[in-house]
Amino acid sequence: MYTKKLVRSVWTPKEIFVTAAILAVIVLVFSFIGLSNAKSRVDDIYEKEGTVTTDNSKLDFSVDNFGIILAVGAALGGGLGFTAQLITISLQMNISRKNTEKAIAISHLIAAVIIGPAIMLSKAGANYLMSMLCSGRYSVLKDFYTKENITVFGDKIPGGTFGEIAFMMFVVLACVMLGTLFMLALNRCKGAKAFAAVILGLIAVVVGGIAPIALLAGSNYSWMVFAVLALFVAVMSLIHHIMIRKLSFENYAVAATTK
Amino acid sequence: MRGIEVKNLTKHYKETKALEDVSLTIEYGKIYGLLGRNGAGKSTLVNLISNRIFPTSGEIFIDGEPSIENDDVLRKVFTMSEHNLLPVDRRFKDAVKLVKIFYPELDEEYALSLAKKFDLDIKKKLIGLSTGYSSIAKLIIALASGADYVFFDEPVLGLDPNHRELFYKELIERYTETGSTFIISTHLIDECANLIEKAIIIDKGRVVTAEDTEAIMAGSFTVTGPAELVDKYIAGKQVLGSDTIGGIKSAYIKGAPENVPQGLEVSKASLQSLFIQMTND
Repeated sequence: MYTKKLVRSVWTPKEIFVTAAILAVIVLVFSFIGLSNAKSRVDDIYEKEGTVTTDNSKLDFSVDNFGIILAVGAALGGGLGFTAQLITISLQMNISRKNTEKAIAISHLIAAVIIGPAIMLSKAGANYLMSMLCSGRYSVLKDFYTKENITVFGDKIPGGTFGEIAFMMFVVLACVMLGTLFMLALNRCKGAKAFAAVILGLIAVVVGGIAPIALLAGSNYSWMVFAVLALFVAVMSLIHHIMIRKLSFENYAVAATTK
Repeated sequence: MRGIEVKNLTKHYKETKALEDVSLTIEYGKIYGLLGRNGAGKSTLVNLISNRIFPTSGEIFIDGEPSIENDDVLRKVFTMSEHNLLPVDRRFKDAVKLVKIFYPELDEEYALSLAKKFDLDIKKKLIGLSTGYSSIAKLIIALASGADYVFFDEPVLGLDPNHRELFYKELIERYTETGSTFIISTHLIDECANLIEKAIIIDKGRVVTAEDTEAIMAGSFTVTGPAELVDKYIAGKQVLGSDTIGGIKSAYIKGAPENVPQGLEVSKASLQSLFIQMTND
């Protein structure tokens, strides 16, 4: 009962909608920027070679994928924000550690379930929109956006569309868990600094988010990447349990609420 | 058995002994003053009772039930902290609704009427409130919480005299209406002396005294006069402390005044002056 109350006090329908909307906007903006870059590249190739092929190695789509990475980073920030709020509310309402821990775990899962699909579906929606904006000499881009309609990693992820959504959920979960761990760990350090928090947060994004994506991009062992991520999440869960149940985290709330 | 019982409570932070073997009882249906110097251990005691931190050793019971990690029993306690733990991006009226999720007995109508009395803008976000109004928002929610045991940790921080007076008046009215226990931790002892039925004085992590304020004050008196005369009178008596300004000395003596010579003035010791003498180094 108390776990449910704690989760519902933070994850209100408005918060869920706003979170998903912000991520969708990030993905959309970078998709537009990516399309603009790609169109310029098409024009360059057309001027030099008189024709544009579907050889995508000549076309740069890294900006689109940068939007995904940024969205994951934003997800980390949002996920940590929810966790931080949950911890301070728990302290104010005298909620036991065991229920707070359960609520944090559920909050992380909610973040993964909402944010992961929100990022992937936003990418699919953005791709569809981009493909509609391409015609004439830019129809080669239309082919690209249509083919990559709902996937980011193509055939590297087993399970197609659903596999990609599941993978993104895992990535978001890993990021948020690692970020929370850093927040709790910082609590143990005297004079936790905002700068250190930012650096550790970035490390969390790299380890939890970019590294798995990069590994996957260059790896043939996609199941291994999944397994590593799952193990990582399990280890994080254990460490969270120790941090929350055994150690005091009240100083976090003080640090979080004082300037 | 109603009340909060603390048994042999100890809290150490590495080498720092915040509380050492504290045992006391907070009865239901009274107004308490929790008094102590800076760093005495007052907030540590409140945080332990509220399950925000865990004791190094000892036990805490609320209405006869062990309270540590016991959510059902912890519902009976509401703590207004010096630091704000409510989400700062929420408006006051939304913060009240949030607290009501966990404290169903919270009187929302009463909270909003109090906000009107204090001129608190209920549509303003908590982060936009001044120090004084931030305290007001927190103490209104605490008063309205409906909890059986309400702790106020420095409730009047940043409040002007008018608002402080209003808070004390509302506290008495709320106490009369609900019969809940209110525990006020404050440095403004003289202001609260008439409000407090029982005083718990903590010094260096230990309880110095925990009894009726009337008994504390009746159990001591002050003699004031020429230093030489005072020194002669207090010889052999249990002296709590003394102050000397120029040639005039005031001594705080435990017990009842007897055979006071002419030239010395006897007066009732104030709670604040007794507190100072009890906790001076």
